[in-house]
Amino acid sequence: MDPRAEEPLIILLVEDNPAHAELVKRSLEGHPVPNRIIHISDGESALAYLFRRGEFADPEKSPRPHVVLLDLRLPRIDGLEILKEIRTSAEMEKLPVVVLTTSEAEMDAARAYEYHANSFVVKPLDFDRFAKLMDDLGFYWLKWNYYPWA
Amino acid sequence: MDQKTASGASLERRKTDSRLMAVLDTVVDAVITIDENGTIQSFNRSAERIFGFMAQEVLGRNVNILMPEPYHSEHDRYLQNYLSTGVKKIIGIGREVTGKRRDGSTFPMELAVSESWVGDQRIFTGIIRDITERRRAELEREALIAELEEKNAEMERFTYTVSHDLKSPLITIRGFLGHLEKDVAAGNEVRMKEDIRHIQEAVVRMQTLLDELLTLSRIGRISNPPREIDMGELARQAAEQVAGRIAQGKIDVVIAPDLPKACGDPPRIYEVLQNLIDNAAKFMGDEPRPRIEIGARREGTQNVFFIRDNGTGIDPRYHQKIFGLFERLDAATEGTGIGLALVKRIVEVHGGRIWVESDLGRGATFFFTLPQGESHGPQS
Repeated sequence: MDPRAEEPLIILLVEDNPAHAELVKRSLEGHPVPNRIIHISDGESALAYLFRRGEFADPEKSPRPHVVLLDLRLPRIDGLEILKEIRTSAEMEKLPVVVLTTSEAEMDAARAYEYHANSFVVKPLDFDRFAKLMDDLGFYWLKWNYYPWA
Repeated sequence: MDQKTASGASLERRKTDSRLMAVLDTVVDAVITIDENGTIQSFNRSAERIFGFMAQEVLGRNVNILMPEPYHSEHDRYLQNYLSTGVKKIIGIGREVTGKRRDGSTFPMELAVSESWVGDQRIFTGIIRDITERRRAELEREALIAELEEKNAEMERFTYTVSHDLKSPLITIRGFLGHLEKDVAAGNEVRMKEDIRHIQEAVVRMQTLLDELLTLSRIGRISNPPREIDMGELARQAAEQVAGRIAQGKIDVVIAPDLPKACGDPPRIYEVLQNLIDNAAKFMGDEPRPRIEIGARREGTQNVFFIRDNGTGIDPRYHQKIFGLFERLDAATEGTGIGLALVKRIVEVHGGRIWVESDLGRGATFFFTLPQGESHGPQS
């Protein structure tokens, strides 16, 4: 188990659509597993956050996430590009990344796995299914998944 | 051998010669013969037509007068090389080379060279075909293929982004309808209002997307006959259209008084100007003295129009990307990511180019070219 079980696990949500970000936040806010969502809305800032550049330089204010929820179509730098950068960096190559996207394009899924996404999930249209997905994702990544470095 | 038969044989020979000459002078290809020194010995009618020289002008001269540099200077050496080493570079092989006409112009040609002996004299025969037309057709075909590939890729991007960007608001609408139901049950009025706002925004967004997609799809098809356009007047109208945003931002709009005329489809060019002015106003940031300048400059034979602002500017890394369909650099700023794609398509349909020069924090200038007022109209 996670030794810091009482501390909320940190999710970095990279999502350009504010409404979708709100949907994710609302689904996770009542989640039994304590969590904290850090929302970033464009690709460039996401990389800046992960690599602690510029305004995100302070590790206290910009803690390393346990898991990244990554949208694919993002302004400035696209999600796959971010994934590639994460996987080619020594410090973050093992960071769990869940691609959470509107796209059902096979190409996107194939490429995401090629860059070693840990999971590829398509946002469901239906509200109940969306809520269920976030609930399950929460349990899986916040509760069940074991992080050797946490 | 008596006189009679001898003259009969020479008559026969003359007949054969003139038959051969008739053949040589009527073949479509140029046929040129040279001796071991490269001296032209025969030059048929087609050679005259292709190179623009009369036979008597070139007979006895070095064949290199038909070649541009560097072949012109090196041909003697090629010939010597072959004579001394026997290594064939072109004889019996044939290849595409460049020829030079009497007027100095050059053209692509196919050259086949053969070697033969007449008695103890060696001659080389060159058969030449002007392939300018074929080359032009090849280039045209390649350009068409490239254009088709580009169209195909664009179509793929289009369906991909449409399916993504239209599905996105649907997720929002269904998601917040679900939340609305829950919030109504819980009597949470604050959240109810927020849910409704999200739903409304998503609906508006979908509507805008559909409208703009429709506009975009029309660009390639409809083209009103090109007309001369008073760019200054059109720019004033376009600025008027976005007067709300301009007034709100207290933006100073300066339109050069001497804008040259252009030629095109006025409502389309109006859309170009309106989009660019609107963009300039939208990305003004917190510049204390916001200003948009619309002008033109002469570059070679073209008029280059520009819309310059002193707003937030655009990182050079994204100068190409911003013209892509549905590309947006800033999630927070309103817009569907169609505007600049639309602008680019309109300018290109008119046979013009569009580009941006900008640095972060230093404003941006969008440049575009259009056919000139007095010239022919947009390409269809």
